[in-house]
Amino acid sequence: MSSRVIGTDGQDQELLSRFRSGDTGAFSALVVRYQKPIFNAAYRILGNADNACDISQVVFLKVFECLDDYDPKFKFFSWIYRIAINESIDFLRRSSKHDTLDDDADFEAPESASPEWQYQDRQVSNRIQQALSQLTIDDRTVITLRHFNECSYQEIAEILVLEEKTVKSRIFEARRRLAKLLGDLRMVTV
Amino acid sequence: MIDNATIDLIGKTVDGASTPSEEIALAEIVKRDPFVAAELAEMRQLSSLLASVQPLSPPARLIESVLAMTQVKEDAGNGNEQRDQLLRSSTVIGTYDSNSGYKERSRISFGGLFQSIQSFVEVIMSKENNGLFSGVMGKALIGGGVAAAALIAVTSGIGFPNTSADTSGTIAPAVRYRSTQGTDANVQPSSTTQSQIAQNGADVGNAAANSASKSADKSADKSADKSADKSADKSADKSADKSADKSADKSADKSADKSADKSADKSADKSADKSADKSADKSADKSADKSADKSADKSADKSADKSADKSADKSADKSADRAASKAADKSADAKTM
Repeated sequence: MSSRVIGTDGQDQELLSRFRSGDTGAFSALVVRYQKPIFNAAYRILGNADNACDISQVVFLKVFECLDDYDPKFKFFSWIYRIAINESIDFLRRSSKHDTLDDDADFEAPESASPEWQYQDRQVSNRIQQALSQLTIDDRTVITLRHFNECSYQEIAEILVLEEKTVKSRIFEARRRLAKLLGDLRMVTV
Repeated sequence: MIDNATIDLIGKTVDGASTPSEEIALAEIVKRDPFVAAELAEMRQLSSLLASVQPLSPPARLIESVLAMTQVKEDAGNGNEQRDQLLRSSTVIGTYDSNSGYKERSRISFGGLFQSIQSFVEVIMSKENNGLFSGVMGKALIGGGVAAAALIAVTSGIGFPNTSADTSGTIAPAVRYRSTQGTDANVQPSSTTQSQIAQNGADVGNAAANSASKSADKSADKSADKSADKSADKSADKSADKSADKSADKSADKSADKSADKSADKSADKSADKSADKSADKSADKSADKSADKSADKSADKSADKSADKSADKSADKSADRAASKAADKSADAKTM
């Protein structure tokens, strides 16, 4: 299952409208809808599930408190992703040293997956996370948004407030660097 | 070096967003330029590798804690409103001045103050249970809040107790806010719908409370587990360190003892050897001297004896010869005479 938000911005706007009019259930629906992509984005940038959970909480609380600051002419998911990315980057800068990798993160494997498959997938995921942690924060962010949250170039440009061509070249360079770091893994698994 | 147009084509192809014409254009470039071909292959491999990674499931506590915290914030908002009402109602207490009429005092009643502090503490405590104020920062905030509430209580208490003159007019406004007491007929439920609504509300409240308490329990369990793990790790580390230190000390002591023993043995051996050598030398010298002396004495004695014997013999011989010759001479003389 993808960690991308499934649905349209129209659905988000409807939920927001209901929440503004006092329907707290609409906010719960937004949390359910976005908890997975926000948590995964934070995890890939921070490399630690506990910290990713904390940051996700902060993101949803900010949405709850600062909804008046949201400009409806932009997509809601761009706004909430931007909060998540900024909070994650701020956390990394505050903590100065990056946390150790979390080997016990709870991966979602298909129900039919054998334990060996799950183990292998976990190993690959950890190896990729190790490589990601060696990239710069900018590289890690664009790789996360493009590959783990499946955002388009245009969406990434909107989230990061960058020009689309800048996003393209940044993703290309980030991929090159990541490919070098994962050279051995690509030979084995692909 | 790959130009931007080719980078764009590679990106689109890898992401599966290229048009047929763009694919053809890239295929032409790949035929001409092996570097671009290698780059494209590498990007494709990386993309499929990243796509194979399954997303993480967020922990169940995430949604629970977010909803609990937002609920607490809502309650805190209601608490503020309640506190405002309490503060407003307290201004009913005032003094009556015959010249200027009723004067309000900007002071809150102790009953209302107690309720407002209680409400504030309840809100804070419920936040603490949800893990919002579990850190040092949170404790500082709670402490600060309680201190501020206490300060309000102290400052508002200045001026009490009121004199009879101060309180002489306080009954009138209080009476103004009174209404007739309700009878039994007033408190009968008008329909079953109201009780159902109340029951539903209570159920919803119970469910919310249950979920909040569950999340609080979970977070408490987790933190307890973590702290237990930490303390276990610490104690294990400590004991490991201690045993390591002890064994290191022991081995160090042993090796030190051994080396000390060895060096002591060596020096003792050396000194013993030296002294033994010396004494041996001395005794050898002495015995050699003695034997030499003895042999010398003996040889001297012997030679002396020999020479004495020889000289004695010689002198004896000589004297015998002389005596013999003298006797022969004498006998010859005697013959000749």
